Amino acid sequence: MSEAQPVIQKKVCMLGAYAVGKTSLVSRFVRSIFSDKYLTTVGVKVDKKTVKIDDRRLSLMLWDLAGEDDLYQVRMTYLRGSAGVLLVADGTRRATLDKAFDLQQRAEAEIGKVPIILLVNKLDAIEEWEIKTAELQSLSADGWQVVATSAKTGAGVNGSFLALGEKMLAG
Amino acid sequence: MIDAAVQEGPDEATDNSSDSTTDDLSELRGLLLAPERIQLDNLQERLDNPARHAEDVSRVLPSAFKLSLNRDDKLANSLMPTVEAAIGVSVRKDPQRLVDAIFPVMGPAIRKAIAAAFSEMVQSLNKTLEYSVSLKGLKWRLEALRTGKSFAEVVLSHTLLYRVEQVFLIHRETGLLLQHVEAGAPSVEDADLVSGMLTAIQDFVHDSFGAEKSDTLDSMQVGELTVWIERGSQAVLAAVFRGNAPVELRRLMQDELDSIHVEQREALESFAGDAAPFTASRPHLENCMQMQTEAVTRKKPSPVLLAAVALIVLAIGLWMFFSIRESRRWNGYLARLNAEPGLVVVSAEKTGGKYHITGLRDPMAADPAALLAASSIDPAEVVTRWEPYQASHPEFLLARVTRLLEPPRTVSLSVEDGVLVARGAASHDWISAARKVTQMMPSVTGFSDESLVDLDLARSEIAALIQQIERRAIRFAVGSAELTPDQRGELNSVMTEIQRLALLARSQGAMSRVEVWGHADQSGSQEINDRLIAARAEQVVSALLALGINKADIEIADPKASSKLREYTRSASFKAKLIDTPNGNK
Repeated sequence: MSEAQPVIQKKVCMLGAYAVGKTSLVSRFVRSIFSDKYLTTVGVKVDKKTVKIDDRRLSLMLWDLAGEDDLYQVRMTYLRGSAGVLLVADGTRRATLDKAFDLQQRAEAEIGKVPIILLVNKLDAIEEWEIKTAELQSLSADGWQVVATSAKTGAGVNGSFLALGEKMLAG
Repeated sequence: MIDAAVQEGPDEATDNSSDSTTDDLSELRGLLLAPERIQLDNLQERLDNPARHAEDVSRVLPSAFKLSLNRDDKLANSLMPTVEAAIGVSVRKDPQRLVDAIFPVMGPAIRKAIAAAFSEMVQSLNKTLEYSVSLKGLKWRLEALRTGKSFAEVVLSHTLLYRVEQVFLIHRETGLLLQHVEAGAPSVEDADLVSGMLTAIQDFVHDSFGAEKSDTLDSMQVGELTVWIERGSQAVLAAVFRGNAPVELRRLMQDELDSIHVEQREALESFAGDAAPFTASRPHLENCMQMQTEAVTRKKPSPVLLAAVALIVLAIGLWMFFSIRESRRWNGYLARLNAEPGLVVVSAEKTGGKYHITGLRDPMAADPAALLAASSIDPAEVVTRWEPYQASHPEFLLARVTRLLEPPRTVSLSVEDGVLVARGAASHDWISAARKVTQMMPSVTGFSDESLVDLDLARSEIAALIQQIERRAIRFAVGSAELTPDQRGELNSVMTEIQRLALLARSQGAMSRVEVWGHADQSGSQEINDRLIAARAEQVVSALLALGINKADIEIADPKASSKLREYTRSASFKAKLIDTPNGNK
């Protein structure tokens, strides 16, 4: 850890339904040192990405929480101390957006209001999307920050992490 | 408010305009009592408005409490149920807040109690160990006596070996790394990540197995590595160490964590991601980087081991001594065998614990077994195989020739450079037989009989020799007794003949005697001639003696008799004869 310039650390949680591409988004963003098997065993994998925002160095500690499905429930204790949340949904599955909102509700009950960005993943397969653009636009109108991403091509990934960083530093 | 009260007057006056007296009175009253009225209204407002009440009470409450508490404990008693209920509600709502509040007080107190309990346990352990009697135990007991520590403490200090390799200070709520200290080169990939994952795993374990909220993951073990986790109200201290750490380490971690909480209370409470202020906590983390080196438990070798080593060294020493001595004896024996004439060692080796010697042996050579007996080697350990052969060693050659030729007592044999030399006298038959036999012997290169007398031919040879000797004459110059070089040949011849005559005479049991006669010519005076005669004879005798003639075999003849022999001139002549000796050869 070079301490040449003060680094601000922030804990960020990745929340979303099972198989929406959270881990792929993180891998797109950083190179992991822990194996993905932590996700299936402990239910979380921690990664780090240091970014530069307005000459400030921000260290994002990314807690990639295992996706929720019928069998597995996200441990809300992992959210404790989070300064921001990346909510992830899969554009090709409508149900994952509902799950994202459900998780967001539970997260807010646990840790209160923190900056959140909604990522709608699998932009590379947009022709198969069940979530319509109009729907996303209405969400934006409601105050949501929505970004369409693709872990496959990398589209929108860096930008959304940076955007969340900015929001956390502002807040 | 005042404005409102002032405006009220005219309104009332308007409502009661029919009664002018009342109006006047009111006006008067208003004029007279306006200040008091305002005061009254204010008081009324105070009484009616609960917010004002609270404000007023809050001003006096602290001093009222103080006064009341100073007077008696009625107030405390009456407050007690309320406070208890309030705490109860608070704990039900969020116990963490109360824990945070009382942690700085309770933490040390609880630890003190635990330390006391532990000390009692150490004492009972002490008693248990009292009965363990071992060499090590005695040594530690001595150390306990010497240092004044309890025996259990000494035992623990010797059996615990550990080294703290890393210490993490982690923000409890976010799992973010506040400070990290590491021994030696960095080995952890990224302390931030480890910190996060460590927190996640603690949460995981707590959620999965922790029954109570206060139950936490205190320790983790991975092979040789152990992680101890101490939790404070705001921060968590995790120490990663190798080996077995004493409980003191945990106590130290608790103390350091407490100190961090006290010193950095504000930084911890307002932590928003900037770990820079926690550089100040580094000394506390470094304090936790304890280690117990091996030097403390370095064992001294036990006396039993030392004795065993000494025995082994002694055994090796003895074995080496005996094997060297045996080897020296063996080499000495082999050298003796090789030096011995008639013995040739072809091979010598030690196999199967026995010595094996093969070689050649002349039947006349010394007995190897007798030599072995002299060498103090156990004969049972030596296996020999000797092939017979004939040695060409002069001694053996002579012995074999002697046995073969059976020489008479008058003959002495010797071997000189392979040539058999016979001296003395022997019969003609023996001499010719010996000549033939030696020709057939491979190791004899020749037969020399120059010094051997053929007894059968000796008499005739003696007579011939005497004649020959007596015909010899050594010539001198006129008036001179000096030998001239041209007479050297004649002298040598007569010398050989005299020696041969002596040899032959001895073989006949007699002695030869040769007289040397000096002669002069007729000229010159008698006196001069007599002197020349004597001088010439002496000159020849001394020349022959110088050439090696035995003194007993030669003598100077009487000069008077010599001067009468006129037929010889300016010369020396010889007369030879045999003289019998009573004891044969001499």
